[in-house]
Amino acid sequence: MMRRYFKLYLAYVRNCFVRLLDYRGEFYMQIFAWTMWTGLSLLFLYVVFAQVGELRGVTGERWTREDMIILNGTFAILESLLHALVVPNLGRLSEQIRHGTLDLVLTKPASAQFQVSARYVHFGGVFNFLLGCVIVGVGLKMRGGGVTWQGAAIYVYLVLCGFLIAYALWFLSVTLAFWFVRLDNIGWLFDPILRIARFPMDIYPGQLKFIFTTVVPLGFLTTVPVQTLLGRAPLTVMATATGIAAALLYLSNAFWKFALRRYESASS
Amino acid sequence: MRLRKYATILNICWQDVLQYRGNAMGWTLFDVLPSLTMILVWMAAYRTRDHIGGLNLQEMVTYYLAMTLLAVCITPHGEWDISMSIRQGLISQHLVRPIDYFLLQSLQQTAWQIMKGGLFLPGFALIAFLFRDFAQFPSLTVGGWLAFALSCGLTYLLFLELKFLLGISAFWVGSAGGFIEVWYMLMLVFSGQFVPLTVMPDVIQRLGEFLPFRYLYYFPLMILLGKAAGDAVLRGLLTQAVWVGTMFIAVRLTWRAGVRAYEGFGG
Amino acid sequence: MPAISVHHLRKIYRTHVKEPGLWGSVKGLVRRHYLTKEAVADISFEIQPGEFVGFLGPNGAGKTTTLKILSGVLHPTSGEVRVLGHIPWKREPAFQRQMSLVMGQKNQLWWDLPAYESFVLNREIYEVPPKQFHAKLEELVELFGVRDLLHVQVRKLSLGERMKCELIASLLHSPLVLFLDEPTIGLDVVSQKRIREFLKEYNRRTHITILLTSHYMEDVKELCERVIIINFGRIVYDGALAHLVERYADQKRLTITFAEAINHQDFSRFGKELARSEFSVTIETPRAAATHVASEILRTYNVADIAIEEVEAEEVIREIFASGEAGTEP
Repeated sequence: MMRRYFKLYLAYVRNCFVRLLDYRGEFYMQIFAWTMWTGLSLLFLYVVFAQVGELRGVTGERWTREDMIILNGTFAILESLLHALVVPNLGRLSEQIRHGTLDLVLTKPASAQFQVSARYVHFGGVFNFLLGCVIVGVGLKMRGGGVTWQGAAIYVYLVLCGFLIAYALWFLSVTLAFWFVRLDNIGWLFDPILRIARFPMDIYPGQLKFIFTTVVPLGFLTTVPVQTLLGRAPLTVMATATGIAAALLYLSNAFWKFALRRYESASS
Repeated sequence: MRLRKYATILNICWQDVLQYRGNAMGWTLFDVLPSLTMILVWMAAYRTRDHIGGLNLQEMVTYYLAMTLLAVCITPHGEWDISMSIRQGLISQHLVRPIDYFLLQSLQQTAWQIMKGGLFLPGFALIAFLFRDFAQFPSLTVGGWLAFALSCGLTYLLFLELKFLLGISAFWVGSAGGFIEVWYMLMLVFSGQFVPLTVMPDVIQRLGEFLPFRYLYYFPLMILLGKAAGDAVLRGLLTQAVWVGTMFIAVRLTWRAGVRAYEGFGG
Repeated sequence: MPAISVHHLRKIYRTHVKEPGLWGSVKGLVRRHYLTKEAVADISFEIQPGEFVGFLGPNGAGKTTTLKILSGVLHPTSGEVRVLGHIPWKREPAFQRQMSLVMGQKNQLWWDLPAYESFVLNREIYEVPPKQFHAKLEELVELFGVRDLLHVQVRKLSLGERMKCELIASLLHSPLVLFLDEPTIGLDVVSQKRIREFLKEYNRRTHITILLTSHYMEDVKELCERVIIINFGRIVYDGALAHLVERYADQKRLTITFAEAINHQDFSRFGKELARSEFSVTIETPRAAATHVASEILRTYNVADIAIEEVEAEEVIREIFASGEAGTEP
């Protein structure tokens, strides 16, 4: 089963790679733009920290320049993964529904959620991913005080959970396209929300912070992994993050199936 | 006679645009959320300092709140539509009709703005209410308000021209996606949408003097905050008007050259 | 066991009507006005393995809806359907591996890639063993004559070539049932003809069961011995195309060419006059009376030539559609 989907995914990747050769100009331009965005958020940090020594959250949690650099690098890593693996697919779903090409997906003997989520890969994400890693590394170096292998492993695991949470949230928002067929920007609706995770959750006032840690758990995308890396969060967050990721993935699949049932009985 | 023709077109655009009110709400989210996040980040910074770049917290919050209003109400987004019609060859049907494409686009965008603004007002009221303790209502003289309104009008014209130029770059640039994104980032930095230019490094401020972008958001917002007064306002408005005029000529020339290039390819 | 069996299939859509304007949509938030549309009213038929059946009807008759239900995309409102013994809308992989759906207007091939890449993808999706894949591909490529096109990007292919590749992609896993929705739509006459020939040949070779919808009469006339005509969600006719004319066209046509100018002669006692020129006239008479009328005319006038013709099937069907429009619409 796993093996089969792995093989199918390889075929998708192969397809995307062949296509890449055709759109080299666009490809480099996109990489350039993504790099610029990361640069822009570093510029913002430069501007802020030229004025103040630290950001202080609502509850008084302190984020120094180095902490913020690490957080930004983590966000770049997360975003690059989404740009490479998720956005090229989910951005198309509402179009597939509108044009009826989803019908063809439904007649094929493979999970429909897998087919609409994994079809496309944008290799340009690799560069921003590496850039993000470098930024995190530089931040750690500037901060001094080493990181253990164990700490790094937990960080990687939490970022992975964060990626799965972000995918599930994005997928949930895109599934709404079954109801709002004419909203052609629904595939990107989650993008501005995702950017909230560029900053530590503690800057958001009470109710918002509550929402971002429970209802729409954006806090687990970047803040929690970085807090763990900096040794500020208890290791129990690993269990919480795993639980949330699993629950959201399950929910996204349940909601997708619910939407498909409606599609089957309502569409023409 | 001609006026009636354009009034009719605006009316049709308006009805067409109404079909897309759901989409408009989506785009509004894109325009507004970044500014709101910025407010919260700055609030975290102000917990350790009172003044940043000559602005206190209240002024900073007011700056971004007003920014959301400008970003939604006087920021047209015609570039995607234009570049797509060029790349798909739909532009041909506009070339054969006795109507100015720039004017048509502008009318269409204006219809969008009216709808987006109308839809956003309740949202803005809510946001302003939530931040009421941190913002301040601008205390301007009648003249100050007039100058602000005039400046906003010029911003809108300048935006229409710049976005049109951006859109018709598709005559030459194969895939407009990345090009538009890079332009957008420049705009973000130099217009003050990202952060007020006063807190930017000197290099960027100096560079910004030579670009039209600072007259899009930064200048009208400085009038609103009372940071520009007297001569500076007058000089600013004049420069803004010069930019509008220059870009209008650029629109005309570039359009003509673009059409020639397009016809040359026989698109 | 029939390959496809459908009993009392029914499909009702419920859509809400939106009043125009901003105020209309505000009202819509409070109370919605629903409209039910019966896309398929009551349809029953059976198709045996190896049959090539044409599904004919005007736009909006319910053809595509039925096809989507049979291929498992849509869930019916009521009725019983079995395709190869499966209930399609359960979408069991075992069922999906045995059938294929091709839609003329929706392509599954990846636009920017050579068709071959999409074939490989389908190999993975349908888990076709490599050996079988190559043999099948070879067979189809030879049959469709597209060897040179496999490694050309799909967007550079003509519409007809693209459809051939679509068909290959959907046949690679050797399905037992093929659903074709308007496969020749938008193609030029020559391409249409070639696609038809391939389908016919493939059906003959492999005994695949094919259900094809089209509103091109030519498709059905050439390919299908059996035709199911559907209008307003009901089956109007199910049987051989040849019998259709006999059953529905109770008129025959006489075209008489005279040896001398006919001036203002009145032929209305023989039947309805359809056309007239200086030397000839075309009359429509009841089928039963045709022979009698012909001999009557031969006796009465100085006739150079007389021809008795059947009404065209196409015309019969057009008439069925038209009468349905006037008669049975709810």
